[in-house]
Amino acid sequence: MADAALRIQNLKKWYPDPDGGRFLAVDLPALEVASGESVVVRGESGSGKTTLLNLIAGILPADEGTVEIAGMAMTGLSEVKRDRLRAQHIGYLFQTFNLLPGLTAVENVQLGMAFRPRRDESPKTAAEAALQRVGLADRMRHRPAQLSVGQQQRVAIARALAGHPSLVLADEPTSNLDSKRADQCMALLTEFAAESNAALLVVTHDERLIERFERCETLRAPKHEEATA
Amino acid sequence: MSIFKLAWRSVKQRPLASILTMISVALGVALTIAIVSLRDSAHRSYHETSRGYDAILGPTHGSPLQIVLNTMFHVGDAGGTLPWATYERAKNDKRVKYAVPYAVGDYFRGKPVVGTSTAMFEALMDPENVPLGKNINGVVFRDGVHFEAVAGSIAAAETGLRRGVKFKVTHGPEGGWEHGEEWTVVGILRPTGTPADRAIFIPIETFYEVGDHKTAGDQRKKRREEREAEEEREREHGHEHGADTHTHEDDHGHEHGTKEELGLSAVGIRLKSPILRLAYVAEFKSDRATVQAVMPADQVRQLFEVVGSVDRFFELTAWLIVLVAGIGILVSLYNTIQGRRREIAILRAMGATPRHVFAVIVLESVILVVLGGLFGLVLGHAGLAMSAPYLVERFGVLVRSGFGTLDLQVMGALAVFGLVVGLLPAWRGLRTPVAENLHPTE
Repeated sequence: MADAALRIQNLKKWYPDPDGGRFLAVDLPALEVASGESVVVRGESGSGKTTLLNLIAGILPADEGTVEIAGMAMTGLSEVKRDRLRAQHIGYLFQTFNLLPGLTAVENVQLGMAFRPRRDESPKTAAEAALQRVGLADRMRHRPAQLSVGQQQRVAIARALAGHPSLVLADEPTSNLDSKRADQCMALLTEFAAESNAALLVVTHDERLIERFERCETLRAPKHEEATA
Repeated sequence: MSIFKLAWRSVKQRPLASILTMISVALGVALTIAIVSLRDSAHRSYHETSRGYDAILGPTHGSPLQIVLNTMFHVGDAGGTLPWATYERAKNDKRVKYAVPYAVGDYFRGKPVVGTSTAMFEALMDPENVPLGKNINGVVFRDGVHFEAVAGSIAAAETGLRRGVKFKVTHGPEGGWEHGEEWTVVGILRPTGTPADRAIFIPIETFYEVGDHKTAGDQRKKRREEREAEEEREREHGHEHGADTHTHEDDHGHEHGTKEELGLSAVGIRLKSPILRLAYVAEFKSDRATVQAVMPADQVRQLFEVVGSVDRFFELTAWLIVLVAGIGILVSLYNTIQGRRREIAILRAMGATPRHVFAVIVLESVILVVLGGLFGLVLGHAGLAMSAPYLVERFGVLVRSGFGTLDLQVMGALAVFGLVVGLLPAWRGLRTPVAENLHPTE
């Protein structure tokens, strides 16, 4: 897959156990997601879904394997370089939205582009367009506390996609929504990602969502390893 | 979304804590500005006053500082008297532009009554370099035996003197007996911020016309004549004399009046050129037996060298208040970092580098200190402006409050201070683990 927005090989992440051993939190032999493609990764709660996204985003360093974003290696980079790569190429949609309460909707969306090393368009213009796209043109100056849960989720989607990233990571994006709103949210997210030609990687344990995606990957359960003498 | 905007929003997000922090900085800065401005105003007032005369001729019994303080600032006692002839000689000296006589010792309701001449109102200036006599509500008294008076602004306000009011003076500041003569106020000096504000001025000739002063003069004259007669008798009998201890060599050959007998407290000298000052003063060093000449500017400079450490103590105290307020900001910011771990983690997830997070927190500190400082400057200057009329009326210090170089220096120092204060909280902020603070429930 030449135009892969995300390419993963032999990605592993261990965490220490209290008994002196360690457990393998993430073990993903291979994964590729092309631009414009949408992929879901399913797994039980505690199966390392969020850790996988943090490894892909460069928030956590990998212990083994490689992650490439738009052809650039994320693994092996310094923390600052991982931050820059993330700012330039990745949109992140969190389970708890993670909007800053002191900022308005449009400012929260701008925040997603604030730390980009290169900017092709004005963050404010892009933010306003994204909010318009998610149907919040009349809520741009509202703070998160003044918005409903569904509206907050749409602001978060706008933030993840406003800067036209190569890859959008979504962590349990519907876990805080009822089934009707969950469907609307997923429809919006997949459509918006397709319009932007962004690769979309969603992790979830919600089986109902799987049919919306072109491919589905399953994460292996974490594996405990005994302490070695 | 700039770093500054993020920092500013963060400050606004905690309005109460931010306002309280800024108030603590503002109070420290206002106090510092007030202390420094008052000190500078006092120094300027003293130095400007001391420039009124090139030299003061005073009695040898008094210390140079005592002579300056008594003559120019109307503080303390004269420390002795000078022969009247000293004044006459100075007045006739071709190098002297103004010779201003001073006779002190009487008071009106606690305010010093100074016998002087109209030359004083020409020689002494207000801070705008306007002669005192041009800055008067009414007129200056006439030289000679005219029982007229000019009151300084504070003296008039505190004693109730107005133009046309008659008053009697007492001998000594408190509990002294009242002289019988009455003076009429013909002029009130406008506030000048100089010591003249606190005194009442009368023609020196009327000082000697006071009955009690005449009596004292007559007694001195009698004692002197008896002493001279005794000396004459001793000479006629061929007794040997030691050194002549008579100090009134100029008084021989003419009749002594009260002013010759009582002498005067001091003579203020303004020379035609300041270049002559050193030579003029040096002449009196060889004549210390009766008169000493002191340079008021030197004395005031020496005085402030002594009291300067007290000034510095007050200034240091004010800066300590600012420092404590700054430490308050440090503690407050440092503690808020714990509650802001998620906010910091979100910034990092959006691509902010540790340097961005560091800059946001340091900027918050700078904003709090600088805004507090600006508020403090306004508060300090407004306080000074509002209290200026009271300060000039009560203490005679003309406070010139206004934004200037000092304020720029203070703001520059505060910006650096805010930056330093923000370093520790910022260091804590950049060490916030990202992944574990993004999803607190997992």
